Order: sequence, then structure tokens, then C-alpha cells
Amino acid sequence: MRAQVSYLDFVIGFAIFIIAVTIFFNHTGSQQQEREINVIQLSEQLLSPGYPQDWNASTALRLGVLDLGEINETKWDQLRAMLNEEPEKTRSLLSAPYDFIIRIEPSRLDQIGSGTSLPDAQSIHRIERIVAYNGTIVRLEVIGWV
Amino acid sequence: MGLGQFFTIDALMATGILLGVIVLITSGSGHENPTSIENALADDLIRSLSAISVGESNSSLISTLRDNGTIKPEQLERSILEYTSELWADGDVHLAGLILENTTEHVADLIGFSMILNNELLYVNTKGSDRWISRTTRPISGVNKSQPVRGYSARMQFSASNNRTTSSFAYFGGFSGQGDVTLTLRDLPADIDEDRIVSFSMEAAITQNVTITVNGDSCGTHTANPTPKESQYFDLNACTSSLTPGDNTVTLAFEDIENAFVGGGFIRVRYTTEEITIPPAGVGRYDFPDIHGIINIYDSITIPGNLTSLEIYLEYDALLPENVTTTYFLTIGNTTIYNGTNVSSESILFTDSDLTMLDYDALTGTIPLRMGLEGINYTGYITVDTPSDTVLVTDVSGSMSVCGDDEPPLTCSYGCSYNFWFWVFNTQKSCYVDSEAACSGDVCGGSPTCVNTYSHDACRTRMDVAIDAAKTAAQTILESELAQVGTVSYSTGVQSVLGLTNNLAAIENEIDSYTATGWTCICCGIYRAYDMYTNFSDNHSYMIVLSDGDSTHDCTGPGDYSGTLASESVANQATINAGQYACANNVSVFTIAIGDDLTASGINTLRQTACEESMFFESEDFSELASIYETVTQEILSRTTYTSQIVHPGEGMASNLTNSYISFTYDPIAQPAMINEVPITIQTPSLNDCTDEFLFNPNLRVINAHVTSYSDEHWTSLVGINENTVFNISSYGSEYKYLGDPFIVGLPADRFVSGTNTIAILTGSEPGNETGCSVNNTIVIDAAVSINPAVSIVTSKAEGCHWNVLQEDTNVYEISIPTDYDGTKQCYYHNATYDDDDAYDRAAYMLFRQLDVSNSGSIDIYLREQELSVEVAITQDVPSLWGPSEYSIEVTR
Repeated sequence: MRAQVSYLDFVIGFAIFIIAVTIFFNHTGSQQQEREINVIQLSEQLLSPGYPQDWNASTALRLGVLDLGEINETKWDQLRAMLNEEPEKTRSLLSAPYDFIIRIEPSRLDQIGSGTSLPDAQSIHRIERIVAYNGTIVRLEVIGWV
Repeated sequence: MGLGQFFTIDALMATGILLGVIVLITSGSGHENPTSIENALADDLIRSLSAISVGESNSSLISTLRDNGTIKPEQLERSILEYTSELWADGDVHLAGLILENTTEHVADLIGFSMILNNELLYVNTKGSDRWISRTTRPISGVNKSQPVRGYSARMQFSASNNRTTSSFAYFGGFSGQGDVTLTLRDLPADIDEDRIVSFSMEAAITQNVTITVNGDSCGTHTANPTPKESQYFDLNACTSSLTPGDNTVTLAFEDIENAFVGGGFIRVRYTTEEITIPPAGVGRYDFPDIHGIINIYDSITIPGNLTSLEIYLEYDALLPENVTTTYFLTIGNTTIYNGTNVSSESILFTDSDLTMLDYDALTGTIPLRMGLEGINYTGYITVDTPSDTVLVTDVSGSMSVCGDDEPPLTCSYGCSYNFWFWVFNTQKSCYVDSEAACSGDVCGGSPTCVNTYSHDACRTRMDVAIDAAKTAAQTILESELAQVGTVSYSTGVQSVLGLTNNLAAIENEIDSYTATGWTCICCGIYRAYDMYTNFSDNHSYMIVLSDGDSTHDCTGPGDYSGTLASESVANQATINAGQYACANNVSVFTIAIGDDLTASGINTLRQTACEESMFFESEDFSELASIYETVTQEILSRTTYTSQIVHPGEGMASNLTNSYISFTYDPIAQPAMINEVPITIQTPSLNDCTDEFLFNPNLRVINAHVTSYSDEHWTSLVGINENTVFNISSYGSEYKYLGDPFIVGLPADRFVSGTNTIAILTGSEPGNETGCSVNNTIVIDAAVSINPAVSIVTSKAEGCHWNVLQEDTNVYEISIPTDYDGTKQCYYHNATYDDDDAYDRAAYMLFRQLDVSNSGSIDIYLREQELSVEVAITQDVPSLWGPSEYSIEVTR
């Protein structure tokens, strides 16, 4: 009978432990997923014309660099300038809660971002999209971090 | 208890493990969402291929293709997606795959993908597994396997384009005469010259050779080939150099003034012009023809709406012989507008205030117009005879000896007893007396001398009644100078015959010789009479068959004049057969059943013996026989004589009519062509009969329409459309010679119906005396057409064709599309013969298809050649409308 009670305690304790561990990792994963979704959302917004469609630094309500499916270099340069001059506002217009860098690959044809360098690898989230740029189909790399 | 505790622990353990597993599963699925990014990449790829044109692409392969001309200049604007789609449609899948490989080389190591068009693989970039995890598609319109993706498209519509071919007309009235007749062709365009005139012609009914001048220039003498109620075509193309912009006069000069007239017709000039003249709505004008001879005009005016104002100008002069009373008059409808008695010269203008005798409300549609002579003792209307042969077939059977009526002279009959030696004999005596009272005693006298008379009866015998009526009938018929009368008397067989003659005395002598005796062989009389005619072709052979009793004899057929005694039914049928035989051979058989001896079947037999029900007459009363004969003979006369519009001018008479006109304003029933409509004039083929049908296309809106009627020297008496009478001359009076005679009769726009329409036209010389109609009548319609432009699909060529389009199965409308097509290809609408890879041909067929409402292979609009232009716009390098095809990208990982 005693042995039986110990067995029951063990089983219950083990189950509680398993649940606790699972909840911990789940919470951690959700944070990572949220960051990744934010990066995807950032890339989606970038690959849009923005609003208004012919936005500039003073009129922009939402930022995007695509026109007719291709990166508009004027918009790209305006975004670069805005990130340099008003990074917080620009990040807000991009709905980006984190710092980010955007690269056009291959060979890093160009790069813009709210941060200047990549922090340690543990909190970085990175996706690649495909986009037309200057008559070529290239990769657009979006990297975000806390 | 122990057992229950154990189960509780097991349940707790199972629940804990289950919760753990659920949490693990949930957390595992939240780690990443691969389909989201893969979907995005597939969309990215297809968007990028759509965004980069082959003209701007930096792809080394595309650059090479541009340089070597594989990619044509007109293709530079196409996206890589479109260009590779076109390569696929053209069958070059390999090159499409190479281009896709080359243009996606920078993303090849990012993701695996396949590019597929309508389930056909164009290119695959293998990376990772070959199982796709995301697929995106985009519809590609204008491409289809093995179909042209770019080419020609034609847009075609009917239009009244500049430099169109059109016509100007000047119409003669129903009778324009007598003398030299001049018509004015109004308002020829300013740009008209000899080169622009396509044709110059006259279509008219004339009866003698005519010399024509145009603006005073001789246009030659033309030979007439007169056929009653048929028009003749006169080619005036040799005189086109005489035509000038503005008003032009055409004069017809005749030699014999008695036949110096035009019985309907028109002068027509066809020409090309850049001038577009839109006549003002609600304004009309009638120009009197200029007449130099004797003014004798039968015409009409047509007011296609409600009359609001009227102005009439008359200018004439007349050479009047001494002691002659001559009145020139003008009537509109049956209202006399002007009477000028012994006026040698007149120029007079009537305005609304002078025309109060007219009821403007009643002046709508076509109204007869007459200008001529009245109260004349120096001229006269012609009553025209045509040859006719009439045979009087009279029953002289025994029953004809009984009393017919009481009209004197009476035949007095009585019994007579006389002595011969010692014996007493009885006999019958008869003679004519003046009254019934005179019929007493031995009034007839003579031998034998009656010692006693009895049973006096005074009356006119049926035979006497018939003799008197037949003689009167013969006399009436012979009033026509070209008529002949013959007689046949019949009883048991044919009793006597007098051949066709115009000798009235001989006819009367023959009829007077009739005596009543024997049976009744009606068929004998009919067959004998039939053999007396010599000419059946002119349809003027008449037979009047009289009988007072049922038929008693049978006949074997034509040539049997003696017959055989037969039963009632056989004899009756033989009578019917004889009559119908004559009818079938153009003899008009009238039958008269007279007296009270006829049975019902005998009456019915004579009814069926006549050619038509209306040609059968019956009465039990012999006293009505004379009036029946009168009715029949007047009917024959009306068929063989008529009043002509021609007058005999007296010696030394002449009159000239010049510059005269009628102008009017009205509220039109139909509005002119609107902005989105094309005005056209269409003309039906000649109408085949007095009642005929024509098709009317629902795409048309009638603005103005009329029917022509060549009435010769008669009057157009009745015109109706779809059972609506639009003109009835008898509503203006019964003496047509005082009424106008329209050559063109307006057809109200609101009387037309879509599809089959019925038109009826009759001519006549007096009420009830119809004279048929012309075979040259036609309907002319000014209409507005609203037809959708025809747009062809994309084809690989646009060359054109010479089109042949049937109109009402017979007439062919010919048109080259485009107008400058100079090839040899012939296209036919009725059997859809055309090149379906030619944009012009396809659009033209679609355009004509809209005009073929009845789907009969012939169009329902009667187009005059080039009356309607076809406006053509051709567009090159047009994308096809195939598809859409499905362009898919499948992403693998």
C-alpha cells in the first residue's frame, strides 16, 4: 500500500513537471514566432506601393517601395533617407517594432536599415523574398532583431 | 475500494499525459508557418515575372534574343510571363523554359519551383524535395495552344461616310402631260461634276418616242416601247456633262400631243459627294411639272405628318380659241383651290389665309392633286374600248311559251270553236294585243272564223320577255365599238346560231325568230357557244346563259350540240362541266336562272355553271329578266371600256404651266436620323403582284416611305399596308377624272412592322372598275439604321474580299470590304463562304448577319449598291482573347 502511494506521487509529480516544461518552451516559441511574423509583415509592407502611392517623406502614411511589381528606386532612396533622418518615425510607418536591415541579393547589391550592424545571432529573425529590381529577379533579404 | 482507487490514479495519469501531448503538439505547430512564406515566395516570383518586360530585362538570354531579332520590337513591352506564354502558344516550350531558367538564376538556390502553363511544364528548378508545398496561379488571357496570340482585329459598321454614293430623284406624277414635260432635279451638291456622276437615268411609262434635253442640251431621241402599266428604262449617261450643281431641268418633248404624257416614273442621278445635306424636318415641297401643250396633270402630294402651313403658287398661260369656254382648275383632294375660266394668263399665290376651303386636319398622307381643264366644249376625255366577244345563249324550250309577265305587247291566247260542214272543231288562237282588256272575243281574227271563243289569257310569254331582254343586251354590248355579239338558242339541242358580229339588225332578226319548243339541253348551248370564240388570249370572251328550267340532257363533251336525254343528276353535272370548261378556257360565263319552274337543284346547277358566284343571277319573276341582263351587260362593258386620263385637245388650244409649286410645313410623324443612326435609302425589288409581301428589318426605323404605282392612263385607286388603307381615291369622289392620280403613295412610318409586311396596290378608272396593278411597282424607304459595330476576333491576316450578299434571295448586293480591296477573293454571305482567318471577312460576315433577321442567308434590307458605306477600322498586333490559360508556379522545398 505504501509503495503504491509513492508510485502515485511520482506519476503526478512527473506529469506536473512535464506540463511546466512544455508551457515554458511554448512561451519562448511564441515570442520567436511573433518576431518572425513581424519580419514577414515588414517584408509584405515593403513589397507594396505604400500609401499614398506617390508618397514622400512628408506625406507618407504607409511605406512601400514597389511600383508595378518592381522596386521603384526613387522610393527605395527615399526610404533610405528617411531611415537615416527619422528612424523612429520611419520604423513606425513600417509598423516595425524592431530594428531591421534590408538587403538586395545577390552580392548585396544594396542595403538599407534602421540599424547599422547585426547584433548577436540569438535574437535575429531573417526571411528572403523575391522581387524584380532593375530588370532582374533578385532576392530581398529582411533581417529583424530586438 | 482498492480497485476503485487504482482506477482514479490511472485516470489522473492518463489526463496528465494527454495534456502534455496536447501542449506539445500545440507548441510544435507554432514554431514556424512554412506555407505562409512559401506562398509569399510563389506570389513574389509570378509578380516579378509579370513586372519585368522583355525590353528591360537584364537577362543575358533575353538580351541575346533581343539582339538577334527573335524578340520583335512590338514584343518589347511584353512581360517575361506574357512572352513565355506566347512561346508556349507558338509551341516553343524549350525556349520558354530557357528564358525562365535564365531570368530566375539569382533565386534558384533560394527555393525550388516549377512553372506550368495549362498543365504543361515549362521549367523546373529542382531544390529539395520534388513535392510542392505551395502553388499559386495566374490567369493569362489571349493565349491558347497553337492559336495566334497577336494579330489583326477589324471593327466594322455601316455609316453615311464622306464621299458616299447617293441619289437625287425627280418624280413624275401618275399622269404628267400633255405636251412637253419638264422636271427639275433640285439641289444637286456643289461638288458634283461629270467624274462624280455614277449614273443618270430615267424610268418612265411613255407611249411614244421622246426627245430629251438636259438644261437645254440635247440628250437624244429615245424609242418608246410601250407596255401598259410597265415602265421603261432610259439611259441618260451620255448627258452627264450637262448636269451642274444646284437645280437642273430635264425636258421630255413628244410629237403627238394626244400621247404626250408620262404615266409615272422618275429621273435619277447617282453620284458621289462629300457634301452631307440634312433636309430640314417638317418642310415639304411639290414642284408642278412644267407643261407646254395642254395642262393635264394627275398627281398627288404627300404630307407625312400634321399640316401646319401651306403655300401654292400657280403660273400659267393659255391660248384660247374664240367662242370656247375653258376653265383651268386645281383641286387638292376633292376641294377646288382654283378655277380660272377663260383666263389667258395667271400668276397667283395662295397662302394659308386664301386656303380656308381646305381642312388642314384632313390633309395628311397622300392626297390627290389635279390640274386640268373643265367645262370644256373643245376637248373631251377618251373612253377607251377593248375588243370583246359575247355570246347570248338562250333557252327556247317549250316552257318558254307560258306567261312570263304582263308588260305589253301581250300575247292574247284563247280557244276557238268553228264549224266545218256539219262538224264543230276547236283550236287555239293567239296574237299580240295592247292590253288585257283587248283580249276578248275573236280578237285575233283570221281563219277559221270562231263561232265561239273561250279561255282568254293575255300575257307576255317567257319567250317574248327573253327576246326583248336579249335584244337590249346585244344593243348595250355593241355600244363598245370593238364588241361583237353572237347568239345560240337551244332546247332539245341547239336550235339556231348566229356567229359573232357587230351587226345589231342581224342579231335582232335572229333573236326575233326564236320559238319555244322541246326539252332543255343547256350543255348543248354552252358547247356550241364556246366554239364560236376565236381568241381566248385577251380574256375578253363572255357568255350569258339563260334557262327557265332544269337541264334535261347530257352532253359527251365539247362539240356535242345535240345531247342525250338523261337523268336529272347526269344532266345537271353535264351543264356544270360545260360551263366550267368554258371558264377554264378564259370565257367568262354568266348564268341566269329565271322563272318558277326551276327546282332547287336546277338553280344550284346554274350557280355552279357560272365562273364565279357573283356571275350567277336568279329570279322567279320574269319581269326582272331585263334588269338582270342590264346588270350583266354593264359588267361586261365595265370590263371592256374605261375612262382614260388622256384628253383630246381642240384645235388651236395650248397652255403652258411654269414655275408652279406647293410648299408646306408639317409636324412630322417620324423624326430624322439621330446621331447614333445612319440614314439609308432602301428599295424593294419590283412587287410581283397587286398584293405582295416584303421583309422589314427591325434594326431599321422608318423616317419616310412610299410605294410607286405605275397606273398607266388609269388611277391608283387603293393602297394599303398590313391591312391598313393608306390611300383610297374613292374617298375623294367617284368621278376620277376630276381627281389626281398619285405615282408615289406615302406609307406612314408607324404602319411598318418587323418581319413580314403586306402591301396592296390597285388601279382603276372608276369605283368598282379595278384595272389591276403594275409589275414595276416598288417600295422606297428612307430609314435610320442602328446596327452594332462588328468586331472580329484576332486573326493572323487582314486582306479583305469582294462580297456578294443576297437580298431577298434574288438581288445581289455587291460591296468590296475594305473599299480599296483589289484582290480576287470572292465571298458569299448566303453560304458563309469567306476566310475565317481574315479579320475583314469575319467582321463583314458578322455585320451582314445582323441584317439577316430571318436567318435565311439573304439580308432583309434592300440596299442599293453603295448606298450604305462600310466603315472599317483595322488594328494590328492585337492580343487574342483566347483563354484564359492558367500559369502556375509550384514551390518545393
